[in-house]
Amino acid sequence: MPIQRLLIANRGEIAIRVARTAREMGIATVAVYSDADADAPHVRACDTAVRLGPAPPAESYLAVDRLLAAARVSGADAVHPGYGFLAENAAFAQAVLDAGLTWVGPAPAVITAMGDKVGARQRMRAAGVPVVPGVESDDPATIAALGFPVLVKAAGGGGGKGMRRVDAVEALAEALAEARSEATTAFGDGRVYAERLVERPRHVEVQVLGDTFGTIAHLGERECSIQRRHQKLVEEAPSPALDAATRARFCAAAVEAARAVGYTGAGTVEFLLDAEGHFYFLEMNTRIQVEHPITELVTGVDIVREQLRIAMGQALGYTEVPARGHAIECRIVAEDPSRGFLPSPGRIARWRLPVGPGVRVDAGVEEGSEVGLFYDPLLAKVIVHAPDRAAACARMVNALADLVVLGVDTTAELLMDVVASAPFAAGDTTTDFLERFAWSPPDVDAAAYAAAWRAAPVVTAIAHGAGPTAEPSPWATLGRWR
Amino acid sequence: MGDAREVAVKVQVGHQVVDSDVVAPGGVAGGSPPPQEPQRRPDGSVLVNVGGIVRTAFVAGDQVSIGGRVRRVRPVAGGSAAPLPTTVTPPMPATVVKVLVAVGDTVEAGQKLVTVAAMKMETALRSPRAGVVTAVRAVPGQQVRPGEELVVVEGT
Repeated sequence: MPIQRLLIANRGEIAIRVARTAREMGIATVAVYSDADADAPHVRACDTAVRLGPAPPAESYLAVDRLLAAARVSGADAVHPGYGFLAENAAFAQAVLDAGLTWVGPAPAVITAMGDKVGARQRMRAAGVPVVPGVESDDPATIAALGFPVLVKAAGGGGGKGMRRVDAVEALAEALAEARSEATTAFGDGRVYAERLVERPRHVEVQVLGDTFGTIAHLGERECSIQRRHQKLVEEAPSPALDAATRARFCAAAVEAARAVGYTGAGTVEFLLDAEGHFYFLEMNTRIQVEHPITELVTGVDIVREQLRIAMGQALGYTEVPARGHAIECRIVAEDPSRGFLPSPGRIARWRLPVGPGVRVDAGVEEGSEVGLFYDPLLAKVIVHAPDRAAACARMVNALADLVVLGVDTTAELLMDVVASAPFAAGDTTTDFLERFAWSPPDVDAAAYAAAWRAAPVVTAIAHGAGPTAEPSPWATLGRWR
Repeated sequence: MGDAREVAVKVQVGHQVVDSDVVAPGGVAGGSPPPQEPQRRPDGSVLVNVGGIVRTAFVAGDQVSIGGRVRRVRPVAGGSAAPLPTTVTPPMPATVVKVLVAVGDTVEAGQKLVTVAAMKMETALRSPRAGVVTAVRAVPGQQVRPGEELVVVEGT
């Protein structure tokens, strides 16, 4: 059934990204927004917009009844959830279907099956997909029998919440209690389980697509090992760690995993890859991923278009698409990497995006945007594509050098140095990369910075409270520092 | 006010300290062209000389961005690095989770004083200096904003 009007139940860069493809396909778009986002770029990216409620997510982007009401009043016939918020919430998917709307995503039963990390492990093992050795139990004695170190994880969710590394049996009881408490807070589900810790792994995942005719296709892998707090900052495709034979086994395992649950739509099967080339199923994300653009650049496939085509009942028509060249994505997040990735809210005072051959930016903010504390601090994704990995690295470094974000601190400079570094160039990308990299801002030509600061108009120097002024020199406001 | 540029003062750029009136290097050595004065552009950016190459700098408040590297620039009294602050304030609006010190406690530089939560993340606020806690104004559960003094540590 064709989709005429798509409600995008999200905000920020992904809402804009989805709207772009919908527009290309001749589908009308409906944005939703909280009071904090009334003037946000994603609202203007859509044909119409519906207010959900106050800024807190529970009263806006997580409010199922308000989203359904928005679909009703706007005449939407389909809902795209983006990522985060309700994207992997089976109850929301079911409510969308019950309202007679098309859900752009897998069936609610599949979301439930893969959202239960313990159940997903059992299904994958049954389907012959390798899983990390572990126990689906929170009994200390059973866990201790695995041998240390182990990783205690939440059954109900991911993203590093409820996860604890335990190196010795003495620390196990406390770690289990902490993990249960964190998992209860984060997911409303305090069940935890344990896996043997894979030391210095890489995080590699496979993009899969399933249509309603039972065809499962894969679009190759992405490596996402550069992380902080188990959240990704740099992703690339293909992985520098896979040879052709391993890649083939890897992608075949992902396709088997998707087939085992009757997957439809776009999904990602995540694996840990150890130093010996063994890979283990980690989890399946039943939605579009933040890092989907790198796969789009190397395959030429518009993943949002495929999601919408599948939702409309169209056949995929292929089972794999070869990758061409190399793509890298850097996440520009409003956090201060020199202070432990402390959140850095504020107003975007300056915003310049890089352009050029093979450079794509998916952004959710613009100059003047307020970056608040209610939502994910991702500002933009800088994505490059080049014929080979070395060229892609050089392209990314240049792109990040051209990026200007002032008003908030961001991860941009750190990631520029990461991509330019020798270990990254060597493909030595394991999940402990940033700990090993131990970055701090390098010395600069301080005189040039001082000269620029002295010469700049003061307009924005007033952020701290003096009111607008036409004074040409910041020295005019020196008084407040004395 | 006179020409403020004549005021002799040093500025701090990130953790580096330089004279405010120095000219970016590249044009000062014997025989090379005269020092290039920074030049303002219509969009508010500034052209500066970085090692003999003209680069575009963007400035907002105390932040300066050149070639993807952002540093905060602040005038510094006396020419040494800024004096150590004595108060601890949250970097963002947050909620106090725990208060870890009491008045009279001796603390070391970097010691955790208060933990606050924002964006669902807990962050420890650490002592900027070694000293003795002379005031504690943070209360668990309290909403606090940047600039509010949560703890005062005085040097011994």
